[in-house]
Amino acid sequence: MENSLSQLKEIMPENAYGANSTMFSMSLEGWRRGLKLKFFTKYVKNQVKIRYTLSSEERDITFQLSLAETVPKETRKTTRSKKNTKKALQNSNVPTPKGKSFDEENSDEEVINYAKTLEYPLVIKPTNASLGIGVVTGIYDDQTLVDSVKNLRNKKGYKEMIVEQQVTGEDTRLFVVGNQVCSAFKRIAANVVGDGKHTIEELIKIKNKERRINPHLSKSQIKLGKELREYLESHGLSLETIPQKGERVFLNESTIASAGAETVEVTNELTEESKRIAVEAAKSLPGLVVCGVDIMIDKKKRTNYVLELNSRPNIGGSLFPVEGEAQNISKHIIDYYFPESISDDETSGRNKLYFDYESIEKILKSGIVEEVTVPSLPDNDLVFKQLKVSGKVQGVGFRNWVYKKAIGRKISGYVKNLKDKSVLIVAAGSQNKVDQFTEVVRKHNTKKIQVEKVKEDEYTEPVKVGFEIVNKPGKIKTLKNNLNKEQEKNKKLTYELEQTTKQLKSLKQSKSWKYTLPMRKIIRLIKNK
Amino acid sequence: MVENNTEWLPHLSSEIVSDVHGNLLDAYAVALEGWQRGLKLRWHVKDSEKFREMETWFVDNPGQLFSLTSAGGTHYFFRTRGDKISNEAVYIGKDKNKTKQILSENGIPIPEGAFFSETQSNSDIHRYASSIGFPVVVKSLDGSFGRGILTNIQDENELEYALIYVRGELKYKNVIVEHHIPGNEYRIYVVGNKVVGAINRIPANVIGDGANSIETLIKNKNKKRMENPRLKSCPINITKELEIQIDKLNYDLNSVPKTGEKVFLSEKSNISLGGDPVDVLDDLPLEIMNTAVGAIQAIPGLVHGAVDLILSEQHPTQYGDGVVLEVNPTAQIGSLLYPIKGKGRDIPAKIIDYYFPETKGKGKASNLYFNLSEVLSPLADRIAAVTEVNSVEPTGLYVRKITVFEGESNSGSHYFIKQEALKNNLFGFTKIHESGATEIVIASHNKQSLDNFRRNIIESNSIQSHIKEEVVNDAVQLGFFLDGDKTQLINELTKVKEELRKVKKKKQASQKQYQKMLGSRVWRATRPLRNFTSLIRKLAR
Repeated sequence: MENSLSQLKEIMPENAYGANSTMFSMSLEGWRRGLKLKFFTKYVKNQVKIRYTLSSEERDITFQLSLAETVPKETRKTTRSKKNTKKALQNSNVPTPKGKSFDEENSDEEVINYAKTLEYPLVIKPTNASLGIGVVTGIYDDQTLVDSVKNLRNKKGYKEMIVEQQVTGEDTRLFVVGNQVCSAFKRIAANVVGDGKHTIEELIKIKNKERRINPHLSKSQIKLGKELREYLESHGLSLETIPQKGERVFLNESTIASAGAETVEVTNELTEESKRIAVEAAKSLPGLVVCGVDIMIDKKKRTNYVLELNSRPNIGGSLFPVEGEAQNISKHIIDYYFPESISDDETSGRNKLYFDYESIEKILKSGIVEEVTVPSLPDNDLVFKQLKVSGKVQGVGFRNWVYKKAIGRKISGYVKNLKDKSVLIVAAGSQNKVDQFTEVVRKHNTKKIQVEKVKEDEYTEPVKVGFEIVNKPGKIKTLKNNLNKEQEKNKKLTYELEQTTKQLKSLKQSKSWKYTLPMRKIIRLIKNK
Repeated sequence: MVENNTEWLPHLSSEIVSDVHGNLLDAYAVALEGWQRGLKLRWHVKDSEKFREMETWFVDNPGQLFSLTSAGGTHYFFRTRGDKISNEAVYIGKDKNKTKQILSENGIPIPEGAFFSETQSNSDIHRYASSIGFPVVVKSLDGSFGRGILTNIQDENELEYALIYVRGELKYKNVIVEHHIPGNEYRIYVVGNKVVGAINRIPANVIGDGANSIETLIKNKNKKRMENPRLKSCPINITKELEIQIDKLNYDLNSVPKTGEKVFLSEKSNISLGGDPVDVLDDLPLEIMNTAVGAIQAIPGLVHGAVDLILSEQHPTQYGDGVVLEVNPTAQIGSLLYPIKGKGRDIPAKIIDYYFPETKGKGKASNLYFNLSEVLSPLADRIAAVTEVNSVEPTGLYVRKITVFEGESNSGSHYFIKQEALKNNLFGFTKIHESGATEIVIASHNKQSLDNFRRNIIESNSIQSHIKEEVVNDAVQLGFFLDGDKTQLINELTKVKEELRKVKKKKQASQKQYQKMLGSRVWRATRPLRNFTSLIRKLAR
């Protein structure tokens, strides 16, 4: 896996998992190149949505996930309709499965009679539903055909539908950026691979754990339910079966992510023909410069049928494939929209910085702030250091002091108390500022804080922009306890203050003190003027 | 005390500005005004966008730089100063000598005086002072907040003293020496060609009640000042200067002034030194208004700002129309908003009218505000370079208070309330009473959304109990806040810790003073000083 991509998973906050992983990786890619970046909220159907804008000297482009607002509205609309997409593809002579769409005005008989002219197996798709809802596949005979058509149209109310020939092969998503295919993955149904020790049930649990930490798959788990048991049974298996080592057991036949399907990177296995068809398919609609093209690729028959076009593809499947080499599609997309930002300078350390998406999303969603501009990446080369500071440094306000010194020098990183009573500081910034900072830390010696030893090392992990005092706020109960404790301390101290003030007053009122007042006044005058 | 007939601006109540500290008050008041009118409000870090070209200072901490945008364009502000004021005007305002020169060229009355640079000796100054006559004032050229200004210098000896102090000790070599003009001091705010606010600045004082000592009276007055958003950061401090001042009146801290007797504790009228701001806009003589407007208009590129002037009692012919001491393009307006007596004047509204005339009169009914520290925290932590506050409609707000009795106040149902509120773009908070009742205050510009929320909350399964509903007129914060949730607890904890720190500091200071007093007695015993007294008695007068 490419280095920057393996780090991407590490630095991606959990609230960027799922569809937002596309937004996170694209905005990060642009920001790291020095583009200006801002996030803002938009209310869509009573829900807060986050959009972002990247800007160079030449242009500002606002994105919704991977979709740039420069893509024509009409094109976006067409891709949402299977019927219109199919028409456009056919007009451009792009191979699509043979079929026809129907609407309310067509009778059931018309649909059925047309379907009978096609070769079995057939598939029926409701036109305006997404995510595979209502799709019936594997229709092999007249009886099933009639039942399915009547069920969908009369019981489920989908009057508009496409009836087409079911094509064979592997369901593959190709990403077209500009005129090139830059990545592809195939979707395979939910499955486990045996190790000769664990049962299918145990393997599923292990797999679900892996899925949970995969930003692309974390939101869909493989469900252990009746359907699964029935499927396994029909293949002569059960949850207790222990598959052999290396044996892949499929758990259903769906290639939809929510049903547990996974992605396998296949970019290097694509034929030129598949690539050519994907590019042609994207070109069939005006301005569709970034496109997810779904193609059914049958290697044996050498057929490529285009099923769908997606103007706002989720790129998470390529960034975090379960198998195969991850592909950095963000890079290709940003290259395309901002060619002026292309540079092969990898030395500046910029690729180790990232911004605080988690906090930004939180404040945007709080309803208080509408727009946040991310601080620009520093222009100069960056150094990354870690300082392990020992001495009298815990419980004496050292971290707050460090915070001020770092913020003032535009240094990013964090400061954290360690268990061995030392303090760890991570500092990233310009050479000059980090050196200065290290120097003031080394020399910091007051009555309260005593820095004795500073161990300096290079820091190799990514660093979040901004400076943070790491202290876990803990649970509500702990917080309440702390609050009580602090309030007690406050009371005690206020009492002590009153006592000292009283002492002070009685001294001031004492005869000898009063008697010497004129003299002291004169002395002070001399001292101060 | 007589200072209870005050009337502050309802849309800038002390509740609304309660979490706005010190010098952020000015920026907040102006920004809030623009935001309530429906303008887009953004807070900036140093050097962002147009601020690179604007003259600013002490802006490492956020909260002083903001911009407001309407369909017509964007204006940038540093505290109360907007981008219609040129940098040149700012440079002139900072240079007291240059200010005097320009004002005098334009026929604006200024105290007679002269500027002395580094190269000129103290004896040059002595000669000059004698020629114009005592009393005189010595001012450093670039000190502010009353630093390096010594007033009412009566004779050669005191002048020598003043020069040693200002030029020697404070190292302000460049000074102005001018007539000391006794009289009433005013701070007048001008926008365009209009006076929009005026206060009389009265030096720190207490009024006797025949029972309490000066020290107690000061303490009581400071308590009152704590309730004033502007004055809470400027208590009357008991300093050596104060003790000397009351000594001149033959008092000390333990003296008990007679009922109704006003005891002045300082000669300086600065609010930051304990002075009282008293609103006088309605009674300001026309000549003074003209002088103030003339002073602002005399400075090239200055379209709004404050003028400090004195109306002399003793020189009616020379200084009868008021004499201008200073012109301030980046003026603090807190004392005009929160006078100790009289009406608060809506300077922010006048400034916004000037920059965005199309929004005049909008948003006045809005009792919606935003939590400044919440908005600034991403800037303070360097997570963001600019934050834009969620825009609001410049229309009235519907506010309801729904009290749910015997409700199960589990965090789940509260989370549901918050989600519903945010979904409908509503603002407000929940509060859990000790009785177990939950109070929900909810506000919106849109009555429909309020009704939607109400229906969803009341008819949902999560709250099935006795409720009470009222229409209220409370000020509401942007966002939705749950009582007892983590953020709230963390905020409270930080607050308490901050208080603790302050008390600790106070305690240390008073302990130190105690030790010093003990120490000074020893010192006194070890040094004979009698031979100094005759000289010093003269100087300390």
